[in-house]
Amino acid sequence: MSLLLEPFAYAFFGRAMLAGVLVGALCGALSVPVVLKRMSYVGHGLAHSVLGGVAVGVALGADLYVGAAVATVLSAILIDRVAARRGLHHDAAIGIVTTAAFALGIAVLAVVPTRLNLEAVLFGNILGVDARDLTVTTVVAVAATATLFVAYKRLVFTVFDPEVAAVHGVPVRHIELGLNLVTAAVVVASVRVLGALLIAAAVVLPAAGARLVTRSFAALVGLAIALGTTASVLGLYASFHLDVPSGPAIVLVGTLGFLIAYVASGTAARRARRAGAREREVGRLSERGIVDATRTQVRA
Amino acid sequence: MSDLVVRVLDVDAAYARPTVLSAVDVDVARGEFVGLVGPSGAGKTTLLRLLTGGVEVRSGSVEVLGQRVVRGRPPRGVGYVPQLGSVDADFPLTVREVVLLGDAASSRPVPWFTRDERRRADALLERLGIGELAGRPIAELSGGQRQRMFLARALARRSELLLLDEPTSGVDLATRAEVLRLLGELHHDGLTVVLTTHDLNFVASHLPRMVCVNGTVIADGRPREVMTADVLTRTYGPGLRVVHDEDGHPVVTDAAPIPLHSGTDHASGGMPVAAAVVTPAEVDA
Ligand SMILES: Nc1ncnc2c1ncn2[C@@H]1O[C@H](COP(=O)(O)OP(=O)(O)OP(=O)(O)O)[C@@H](O)[C@H]1O
Ligand SMILES: [Mg+2]
Repeated sequence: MSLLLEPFAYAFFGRAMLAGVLVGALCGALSVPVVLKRMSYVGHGLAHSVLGGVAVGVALGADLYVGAAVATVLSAILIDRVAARRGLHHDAAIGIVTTAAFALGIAVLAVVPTRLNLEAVLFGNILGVDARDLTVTTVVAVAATATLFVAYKRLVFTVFDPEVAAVHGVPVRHIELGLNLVTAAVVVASVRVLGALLIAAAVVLPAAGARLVTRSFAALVGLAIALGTTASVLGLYASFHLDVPSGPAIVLVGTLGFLIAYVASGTAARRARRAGAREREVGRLSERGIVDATRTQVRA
Repeated sequence: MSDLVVRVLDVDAAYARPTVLSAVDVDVARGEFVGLVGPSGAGKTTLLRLLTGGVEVRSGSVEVLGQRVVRGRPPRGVGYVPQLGSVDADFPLTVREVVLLGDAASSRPVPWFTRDERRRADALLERLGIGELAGRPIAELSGGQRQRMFLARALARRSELLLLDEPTSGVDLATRAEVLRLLGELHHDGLTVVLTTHDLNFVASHLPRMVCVNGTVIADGRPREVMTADVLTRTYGPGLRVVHDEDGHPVVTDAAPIPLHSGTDHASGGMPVAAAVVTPAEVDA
């Protein structure tokens, strides 16, 4: 018990935990469209541009968040614009835009001396979570949640079938741009806790794991949020007790969750395959009126 | 509004540099049922996209249901059934959820659907004969069931024009007949239908109008008049022959058996000596 409560004797841990829970839930929710749209590169890329933005911002004497926000939002818009060009896909767009930002950041750090704690920016540091970080995280959490809430149906349609979504009146371009901006905001809010380099994993792992064990969209969203949050909480404890940076700790816990889902789904899939094959056969036969599916019992 | 549902006037259309369709003129009146045919890459899908704001209109004009259509500005009132295989078949949605999405653009901006919306989706699935699949993950559907689900999604949006891209490809003959019967019903209820297909004989025997496409509109009219050896050659190239069945419907067949080389001597000129002729029975085996 003391393992769980003891860390809260330190004020910074309470703040880190609060920020961690928000960031974990956000990354969990965001991981769903990221995984389904196969755009894990976006998280990867935006995270790289964060470093560039932070470096340039700090070198210019600006605030960490200002640099990070400007860099990611600019990158998100640029990625969107470059990818809108025919013949270039998102991954190429991201590779170009964000690596350039990363390179710029490193170059600036080499030339301009700053007091930037590079390791903390790259890997996350719970000691560094102050009241202002908490405010930023909260604001991002509220805004992102509101956006996803309002756009939910249209976003699902866009992720599933963008072409028909557009024909059916969904403003697909705006939805996609909005998703990129939300991703950018979440990346910025996650820098303190997760670190720039490990955000990419945090916006993939939860939905990747959840997807293995559910086929319902609502369950996927719920499970991904739960996984993201749990990884954050356990990871922060691990970070405190084992004295590892918070980013790696959270990502390792998330990976463990993914592995558990992977093993569990393997076992379940073997069982379901046998039942499913039989059920599909009954379905086919009943379509042709050979078997009455309503009377046919299929046992798993 | 005039009685023209679709009005394409001298249009050149393109995705990027090369023009995919040129000098296209097509009008579709309210209540028509039109089949678009043409070889692969002819621009059938592109012609549908022309009507939905999916390609660039280089010149000319496109009007659908009285609305001017340009790229990125789809008209209201159109339901679209995409070519099978255009989406992730394993996407974690149920059949009912997919149908509900069809009208997402005019649904309230909250993550859930109302009971009325769900009832309507279920009624559509019922009408299309897959009511019992409503709660199933789409990954578990057969091709024909998936096709009907997408038809239900297209209908979920209150539409006057239904566009279908190869709705009869990749399903068995019984399912094909079922899909067509449903489309016939919808058409009878007043919907204007435009579909693409590779199945010339189906168009010839069931549809009142066919449009042959290959980079432009090659021919347009009643199948009995349009489906001639000349038009088919201009659309598909040589190799097809038109005969007529006992009802006088044109039927397309291969002009000659297609020789499959057996790998031995075939340098003897003309029809190779050692050629296997494929008969339907062998293909089935
Ligand atoms: N998204 C795209 N971007 C660029 N070119 C495209 C795109 N889609 C199709 N094309 C090109 O446009 C031409 C017409 O393609 P389209 O898909 O309209 O043919 P189709 O008649 O529907 O063929 P199929 O019977 O194989 O479906 C082809 O040359 C194709 O390569
Ligand atoms: Mg096509």
